[in-house]
Amino acid sequence: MTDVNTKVDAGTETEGAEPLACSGARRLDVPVFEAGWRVGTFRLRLWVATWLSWLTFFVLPLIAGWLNKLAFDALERSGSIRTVLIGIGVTEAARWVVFAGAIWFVVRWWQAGLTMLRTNMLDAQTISGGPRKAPQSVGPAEAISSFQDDARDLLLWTDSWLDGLGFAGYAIGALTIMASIEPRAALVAIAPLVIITAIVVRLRPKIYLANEADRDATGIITGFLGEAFAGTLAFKLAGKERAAIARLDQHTERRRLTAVRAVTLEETVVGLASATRELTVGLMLLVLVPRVRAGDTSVGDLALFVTYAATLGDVPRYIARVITAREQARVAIERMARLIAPERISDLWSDTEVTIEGSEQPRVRSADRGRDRLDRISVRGLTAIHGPGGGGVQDIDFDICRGEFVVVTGRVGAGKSTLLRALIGLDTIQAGTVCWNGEEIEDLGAWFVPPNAAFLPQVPQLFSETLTENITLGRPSDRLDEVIQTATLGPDLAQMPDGLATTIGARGLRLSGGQAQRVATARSLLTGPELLIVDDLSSALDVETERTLWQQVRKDRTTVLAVSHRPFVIRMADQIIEL
Amino acid sequence: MDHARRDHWRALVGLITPKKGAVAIMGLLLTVSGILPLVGPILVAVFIDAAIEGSSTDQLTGLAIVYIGLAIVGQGLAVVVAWTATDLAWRVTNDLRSDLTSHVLGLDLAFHRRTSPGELVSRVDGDVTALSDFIARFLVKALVAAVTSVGLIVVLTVQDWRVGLSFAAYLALAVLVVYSLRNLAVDEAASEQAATGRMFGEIEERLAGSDDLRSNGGGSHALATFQAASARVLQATLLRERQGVGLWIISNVVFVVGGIAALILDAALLRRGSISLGTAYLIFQYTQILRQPLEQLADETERVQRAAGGMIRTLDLLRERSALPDTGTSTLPSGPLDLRIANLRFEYRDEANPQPVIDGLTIDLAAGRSIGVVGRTGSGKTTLARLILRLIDPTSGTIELGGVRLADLPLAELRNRCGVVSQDVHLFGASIRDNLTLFDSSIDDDTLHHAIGQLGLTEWIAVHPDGLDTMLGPGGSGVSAGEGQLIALTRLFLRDPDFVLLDEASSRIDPQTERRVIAAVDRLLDGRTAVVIAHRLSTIERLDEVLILSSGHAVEHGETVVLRADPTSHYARLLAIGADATIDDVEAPS
Repeated sequence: MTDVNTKVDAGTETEGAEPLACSGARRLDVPVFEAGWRVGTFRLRLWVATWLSWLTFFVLPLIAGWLNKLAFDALERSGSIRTVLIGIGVTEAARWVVFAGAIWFVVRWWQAGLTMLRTNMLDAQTISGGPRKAPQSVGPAEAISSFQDDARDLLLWTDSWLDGLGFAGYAIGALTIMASIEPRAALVAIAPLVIITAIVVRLRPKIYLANEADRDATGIITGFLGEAFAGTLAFKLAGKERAAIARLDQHTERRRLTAVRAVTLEETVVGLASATRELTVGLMLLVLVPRVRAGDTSVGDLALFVTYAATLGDVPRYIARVITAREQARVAIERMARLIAPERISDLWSDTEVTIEGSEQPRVRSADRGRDRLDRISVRGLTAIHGPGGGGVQDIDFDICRGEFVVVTGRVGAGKSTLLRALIGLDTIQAGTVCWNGEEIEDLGAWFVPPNAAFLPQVPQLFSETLTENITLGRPSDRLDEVIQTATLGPDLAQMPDGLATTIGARGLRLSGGQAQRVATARSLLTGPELLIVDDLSSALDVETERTLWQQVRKDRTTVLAVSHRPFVIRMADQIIEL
Repeated sequence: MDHARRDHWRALVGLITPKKGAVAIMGLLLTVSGILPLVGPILVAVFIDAAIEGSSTDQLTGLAIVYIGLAIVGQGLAVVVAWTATDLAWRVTNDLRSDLTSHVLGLDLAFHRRTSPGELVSRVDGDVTALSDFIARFLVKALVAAVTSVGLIVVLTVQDWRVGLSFAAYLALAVLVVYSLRNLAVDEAASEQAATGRMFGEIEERLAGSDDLRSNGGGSHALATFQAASARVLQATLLRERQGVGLWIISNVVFVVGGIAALILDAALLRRGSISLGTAYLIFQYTQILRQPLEQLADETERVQRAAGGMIRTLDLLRERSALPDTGTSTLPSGPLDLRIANLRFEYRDEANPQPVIDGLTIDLAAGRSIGVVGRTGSGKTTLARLILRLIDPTSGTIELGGVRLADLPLAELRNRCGVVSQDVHLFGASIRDNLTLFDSSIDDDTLHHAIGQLGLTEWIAVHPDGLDTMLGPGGSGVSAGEGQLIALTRLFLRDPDFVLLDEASSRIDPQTERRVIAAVDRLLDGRTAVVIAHRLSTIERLDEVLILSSGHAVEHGETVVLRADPTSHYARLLAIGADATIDDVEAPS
């Protein structure tokens, strides 16, 4: 007996993902087949090579089964089995070689597909403007599971087609051989397949719902853990670690129930499918009774039928796997779509230039947009409301002329940050226009990027790279020394053992708050932006440092739009916008 | 090395054994489902012999029907096994998740600074899920295969003892091969998981910083960085797969050799007439009956490797020790606590040329009194706060709270009695209620509304359609920095601490709102010991004492009233500039 249902999945095995926030609200028409096809054909040559090796791997056992029959026929006649045994050995050895080849191809193909999906999602989440830009609709910890599990689930769907071809090849071969010996046996082999497949298909919606519930539960857990680990200090200081654990226990207990339900349903399908296999063998024995009685069927035939029937019995299980994979792929695509621009689902599998192997050069950074000299920005009727409390700004008018220092000030929740973020396209605006030298700008996000503008958020985020990379973000670093001086980073650098090559830890947490603020300042100054937008420098800097910093920045009359409470900053202003 | 390798399996056994009842039921189910697969081939063998002997059609038909019946029972049992095993696996690993999370939350800040939340999530949930997968899917199959193997030997020995004996020897060899290969790819799996974890950690921080990347045109660079990380994962995966393929081939060799050997044995025994053709079929079939489960298990070596890798990383995580040993057993007296700091000195260890951040500081603060601390950035204010809260331990010198050295206090006791609000407020992507109570469901709504009212947040909450149950965005997005500080202050008001520490607690609140907040805070501080660190002098002017810090030591320390009256004091000179002034305004050249 030779089993062909051998498979090594190259994907990551960690389970879980989180809830589909918009399920029900916005039902996407998910092109599951197109998605699978695009992911498959993304690296066409790898894909074809994978198919060929996999098909060969599936079909070889047909020969092995036939050789087993020959062996038993020889035993029945008391003949020699030496040649047959050599044949069996050679066939199996060939299968090992093919398997090694198949894995070599399939791992690369998987990585190509995963990298493409992940690149497209990351692109949509970090691109500044243009049609591909997607809103940040889910938190990072939650989004990660789309990069991890959903991308894998879509690949598993395409991967299931590989087995499809293999099974088809095997089934056609097996049924043909069986029919040539005893047509009724071939017919009997087909009947249970049809019945069990029908039952399995009926169970499908239940499995879908159970899996969705399980993913929801897992998503809540990963989301909660992500939030909890990011906020460890808050729990520590308040002595509320135990409350956090109690909440986690509630969540994990709920997932135990959803997981058990999902697995049990899945195993039922697997069980039903395996039952087919035994059922087929049993029915075959039943059908063969008269022939056996008549002495028309040899022991070799019987062995052959049992072997082939056993593998054919895997067909409903395979069909169930494809159906499940398809459902999971649908859910996965819907969830990944949250990270992609609305109504542009095909961006997910758009053919991106990705590098898969380390030996290739990573994709070259595309150049910054051209510089558009700033003379005057005019904002008219700008309205941007966002956040759970409906905070934001309404109907704001102002002008900024070249070289001006404009300060936005106002109370907590007055919408200072929203104003800046809306202007540069990070928050959507509901009404109003923004003109650059009198010309209206359609896509604020695409316009307000270096070298036209640079943004320094209130709490800047840095990344686990070197200081140089954090400041240049991959740009040529010829102005590096200059901006380091302007951002008053010199003394800090002198204290670091590796200077600019120092890696700054996850999220830049090895730096102090003030250092991070100044690194981000250097980052925003690197291209010498026409307009520098700053959201409250003061929170992480002391007055002296902040004063020096502003003096440095204003040295060459850079146009600045800044939020601040500091009296001395307000005193420096050419124009004050009070919200 | 070998010792460390065995550790993770021992730890796994330790996890499962407490669930005795469930384990017993599993054992019973596994035994039955291990024996069932043996029956089918016996029926076929009997069928063959019966056919050759010329038995009746009824007899043959009966055998075929029994075969079908057993198939149905067997598969039903498989479902029950899967159900029981999954339930057990999740129960066991949920306990582990709970312990791990608790452990991670207890680790010091230095650990959290070098490990991203995304990586921790993948370790606490991802690695542990690999483990529950292993228990539910691998362990069960392996045990069923073991039962089947024993059954095989018994059945064959009954047929012919020589066959039984050779089979036992063959199986022992097969198991030995698989067993010795077991740990072959564990290291590769662990390094693959590490590479994957790093990659996801990097993606996560890019997603967290997506605003920064977008507005500074950093998207392309993020993609290039990701693809480089992705390529490193591929290299690690290929290394692991190479081991995996090798294992698969070796296990195959074992079974192909077994099948060929069985046919040779069959030929010899048939020639001597010591077995029937049916038994010949049975012997061959039995060499192959274990092939599928063992091929599946070999397939699952990937799962085993992942689980082992996960378990190693889990044990590593559990071995992480906080730099702050929590071994104290003393308790604090009730009521307000006095604070005594003596010759306190602190320097960061990992820096090349250690410069003391706190340099010989001595302060006595009587119970119920309050002190305002001012000083430039880098003067050691925040470090002092961290030392008092025992987020870090001093290089030398002591801090006593309520007459007890901090190191002698259980951390839980210390943190329960201290109320803290720091400059950086962490908000959660959870309901406003959870953000205020920090997930403590024992706080009732009346208490909550009272605290909210004191800080003037009632109105802010009222504008949210779902009130307290409104969900905040991820990381509390949608809440301004000032509102965040008000939330943090509310957290403080929900507790009844005997010692309060405010570190720039209102720095991001506009001056107008701050005045209202200060009034509420003043009421809270009444009768409690308090340390208040601030930039603005107005924040600390009503406190009992003032401490001016510079380069980690006290430039000036005294009664607020006295210092204010003394025109030569630093404090008086600061005040002369105005209440909005800070220490920097005096020291900075103007």
